[in-house]
Amino acid sequence: MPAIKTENLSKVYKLYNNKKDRLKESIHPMKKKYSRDFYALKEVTFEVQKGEVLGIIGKNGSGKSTLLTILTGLLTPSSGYFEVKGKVSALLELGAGFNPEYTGIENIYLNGTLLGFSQEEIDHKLEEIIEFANIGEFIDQPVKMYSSGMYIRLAFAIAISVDPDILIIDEALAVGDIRFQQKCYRKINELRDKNTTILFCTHDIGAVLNLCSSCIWLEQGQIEAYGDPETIADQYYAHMHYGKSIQDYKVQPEKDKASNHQTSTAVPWQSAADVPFFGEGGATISEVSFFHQESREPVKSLKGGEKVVIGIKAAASCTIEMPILGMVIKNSYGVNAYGTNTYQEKCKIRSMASGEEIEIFFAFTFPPLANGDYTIDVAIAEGTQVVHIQHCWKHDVITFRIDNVGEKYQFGYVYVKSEEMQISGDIIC
Amino acid sequence: MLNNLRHFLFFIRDIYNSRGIIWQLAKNDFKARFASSYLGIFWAFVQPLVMIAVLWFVFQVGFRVTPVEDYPFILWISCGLIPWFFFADSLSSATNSLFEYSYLVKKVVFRTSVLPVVKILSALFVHIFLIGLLLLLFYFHGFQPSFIYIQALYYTFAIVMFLVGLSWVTSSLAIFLKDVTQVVAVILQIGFWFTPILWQIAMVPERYQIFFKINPMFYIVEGYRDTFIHGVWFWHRYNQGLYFWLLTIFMFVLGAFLFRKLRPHFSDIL
Repeated sequence: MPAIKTENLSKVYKLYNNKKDRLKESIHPMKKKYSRDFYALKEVTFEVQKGEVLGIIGKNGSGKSTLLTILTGLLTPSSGYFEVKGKVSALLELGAGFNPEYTGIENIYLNGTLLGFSQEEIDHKLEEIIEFANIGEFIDQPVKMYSSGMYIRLAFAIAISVDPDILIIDEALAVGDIRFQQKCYRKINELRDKNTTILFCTHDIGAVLNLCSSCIWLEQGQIEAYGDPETIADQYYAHMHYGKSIQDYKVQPEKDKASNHQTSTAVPWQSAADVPFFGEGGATISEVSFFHQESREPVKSLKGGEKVVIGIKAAASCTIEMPILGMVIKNSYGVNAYGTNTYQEKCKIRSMASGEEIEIFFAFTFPPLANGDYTIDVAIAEGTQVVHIQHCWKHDVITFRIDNVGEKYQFGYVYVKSEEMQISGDIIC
Repeated sequence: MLNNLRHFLFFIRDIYNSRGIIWQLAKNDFKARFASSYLGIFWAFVQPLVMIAVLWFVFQVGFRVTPVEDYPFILWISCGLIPWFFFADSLSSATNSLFEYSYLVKKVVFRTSVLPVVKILSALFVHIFLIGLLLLLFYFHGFQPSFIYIQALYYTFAIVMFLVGLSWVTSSLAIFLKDVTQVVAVILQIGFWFTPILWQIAMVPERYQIFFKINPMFYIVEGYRDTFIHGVWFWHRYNQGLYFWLLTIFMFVLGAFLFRKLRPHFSDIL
């Protein structure tokens, strides 16, 4: 028997031009419409069995929180049906109903009361909650003094103290420090063993793989995929890195007739025109490409050591005397891994007249960087390394992944092949 | 229609079932109101007491007003002021209750319709204290307690019922139109002078009296005076009583209807 069941669950947000329209519509006797519709959730149907741990993933704004909030009963679905069996305890985005003026203890009582416990029952649980939250003397301070980490510690401690049949957690745990997260994950495992049904949404794919027995991937309010966590996580990962976000750029073959480069006919350009930039805007970067030198295939993942080409196409809207084009490769934390520009490489570019377009290609052997996700920034400037005008800098126009298969346990920014690593001295083998 | 009636009954039943929560929240609310001030709860009583003291000083000591209906002026005005204070305090705080407790409305699953009730109950604590004080005042002026004093319970109950319905209307509307809060404040200000608190209805020519009797607080304030001064039981004022209770029922139904209709939007807007 499922613990949670939804059928065609939809949430339409009515977008009103002002508050008055909303009031008018909700009490209008003829149900006249004053709004536009926005689907935060669209026909979501799934079932969760008792004792299952369901992970919900999806990018920001895909409807994860809306779904969880509906299941707790705080939001009313616009249409569809859902059924939740058992006592629900929820931890919604940095949430819990805390009064910032009350102390931690007072808030425990307040929440306990609202969850339907008597004074004595809360007295009984108090010790356990305080111990789990472990925020020291702050428990006697008003909640407004808390750091966001303390806040979530207390909220989580309260949420699990009620022995819920269903626990709903919304992204909240990310705020806790690593020890608290570990503690929460242990607790979640413990609750799962006690046959508690758990729903949680997160951006931490690792947590999904470790904790969940099934996984839903939401995309624009609809279920994109539903199944075992490994499969879904892979699909989601692939999507986030090379998926729609790049398709949106429309990989279009270059159709320039009088091209002055032989290479450019086969370059897999992708439009970067819509990417916002900073700079004067005297010249802008319209297209970029990142491809394997031999096959001319766009790069999606690399091991390091391949010959690759980064191409930049820029158009001037005024005269640019000494153009400099450059690129920077960054890892997922925004740390620059490598970058260069045409000035640095002592390569002169002819000056550009207004309306003129240029293409520049950086061909090189890709350095052995550590596993992870990387992005490339591209830029065009005018002048010299020291004195220059920044015309157009576009962040993260290319994303790709480095996968040095099997070398997961090295750390740092770069990668050294195991066969190139020789360890000698007092070793056994 | 039948469906609406059923919803209405469910709505009332839910409130009744949440009485434990209401009681806890009201206690919390009362404590929290003055939580960060040094004198704490003391402040809850200061404001009405100061008001009564000032009026007594101005009229009795300053203007040397003669006793009204053979009762010292301080007793006479207190009978009118005390229910008015309760009404004004409850209505303005209950109208704001959903804003004040928005952190609960948005994050915790419970009957939000209890919040205005919580505010009224929280104000009732002060009211009960003031009634106790009023009884003491009467006693020290040499008036022996009378059995009819028990009638204060009836009028208190009546005003609470009226307030609950009214505050469901104002609090749910206030979320959509912040102006409602201001409108309520203005109406309370006018209402204070429109209700015979500092004056007697007998001062008004007979044919205009009806305009003042429309005001439901007329029934309440006069009721308190009937109880403590005139010694008139409420069943002798059946016309007024009937009007008041019809109005209360109307407010209750309207309030429950509006609240139920608007509640799904609360967490979207707050």
